[in-house]
Amino acid sequence: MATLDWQFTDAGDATLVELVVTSDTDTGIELTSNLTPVWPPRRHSRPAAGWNENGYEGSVTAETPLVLGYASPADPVEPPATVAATGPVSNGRDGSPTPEELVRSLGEAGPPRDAVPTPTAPSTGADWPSTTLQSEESGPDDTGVSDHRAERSGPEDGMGVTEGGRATADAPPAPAVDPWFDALERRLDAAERLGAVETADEARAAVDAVGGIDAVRRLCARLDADRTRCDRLAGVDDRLDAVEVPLSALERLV
Amino acid sequence: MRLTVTAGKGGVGKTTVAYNLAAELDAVAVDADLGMADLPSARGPDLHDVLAGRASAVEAVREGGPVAVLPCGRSLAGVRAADPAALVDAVRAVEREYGRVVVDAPAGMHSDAAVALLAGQAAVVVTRPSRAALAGALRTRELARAVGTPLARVVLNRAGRDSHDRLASALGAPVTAVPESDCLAEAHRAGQPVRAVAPGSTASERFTALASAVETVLRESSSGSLPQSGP
Repeated sequence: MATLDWQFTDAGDATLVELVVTSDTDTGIELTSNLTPVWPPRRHSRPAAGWNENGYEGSVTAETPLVLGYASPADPVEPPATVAATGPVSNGRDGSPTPEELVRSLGEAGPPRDAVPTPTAPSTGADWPSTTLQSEESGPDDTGVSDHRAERSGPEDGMGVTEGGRATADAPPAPAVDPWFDALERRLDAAERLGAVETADEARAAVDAVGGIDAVRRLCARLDADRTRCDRLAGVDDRLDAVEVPLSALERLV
Repeated sequence: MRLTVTAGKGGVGKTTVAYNLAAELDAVAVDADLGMADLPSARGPDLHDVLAGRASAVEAVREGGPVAVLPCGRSLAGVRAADPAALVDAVRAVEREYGRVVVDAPAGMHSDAAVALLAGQAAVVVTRPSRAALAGALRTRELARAVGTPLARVVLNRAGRDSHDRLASALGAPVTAVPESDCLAEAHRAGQPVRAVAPGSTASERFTALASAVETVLRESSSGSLPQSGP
């Protein structure tokens, strides 16, 4: 039987989850995260072996615990994952490796993301200036070519975060901020429920619903960070209302 | 039928062999050298688009030239957007439509070279009689073995008159020697297979023999009697 031990680390925009899976027998396991979306560890831009959008599939031995870690924009939930034993581990595998395994183990030969200029094309939704290098290098065939891989991998890439954990400058903004807004709304719902309690019983129930008093403390810390960020947003909001680009005049001039 | 033409090192004539083999086998040549494409190109969707999910593999095949080609783009952004792991499915899609595919693999030991090997039922390793090229061929043979793709033939470009037994023994596959010739260079410049430019030439005959040998190996492979590459 596989058992799970866990620990959370608050990394600002994300929750880092450390898991230790132990078992008294050698067994295959399937681990499903209760925090979604899952941002798995990556090797050469691919989710590391065993990781998928829901969690992890692998095996644990009786001698050695399985130690795993992943991130999620969601707030901590107790427990962060459920683990199910999937039966005996099949030793050895036949057949060829999959293309995904080859890329994960050997690495991609393509240029790193930073080395590729950002194209401007209507189809990408990227409406901020790109470097001039792109227009010099690319022929007419290349318009519309962008780093679609970031878009295609979608949820796996999370908030436009690279494997190094750094936000990418060339990712379209909407997918990057939407999960944060969703998480913020969930935090506000929870905070409002906590703020609306009137009796001791209600308070206990509300605290339990959040995941205990530690979770309430974490929620307060996250809300402080949210306030700082929203103050900055408010400044941008005013400027966004005020600004107007004289597009037609500029078009006549250039 | 899916055949991968590969080499450990660039500049040994891999693309020339792939193009001429595709002509002999009446196959589609897929330019899988994502970063250093060399087969003739044209406007329209290319392999970068296919591997980025923007076009289907079959619609990217150009049938107009002497050899049907699935060309590869030349832009950095295209390489970046392409998912090398998607090559196997793309090659299989072309095979379903056209029957025969020759994959011109990239040189090197990265995943793009390995996935191109995985896309083929058998591989032809191209090399030249130089220390660096032979070392590259050995490394590629190891990569093919790791991926599980059998080695059908070794092509020795710019071959001299020496015996090639040692090379065949080292790489674990028979050697087809293609001597340096003007007609090959002329065919390359004209964007034609050598059999179209110089039908009776030694080079043309060697490619015909190579194609025939590879077909035999692939037949045996599909009937399950082919051993894994090398000793």
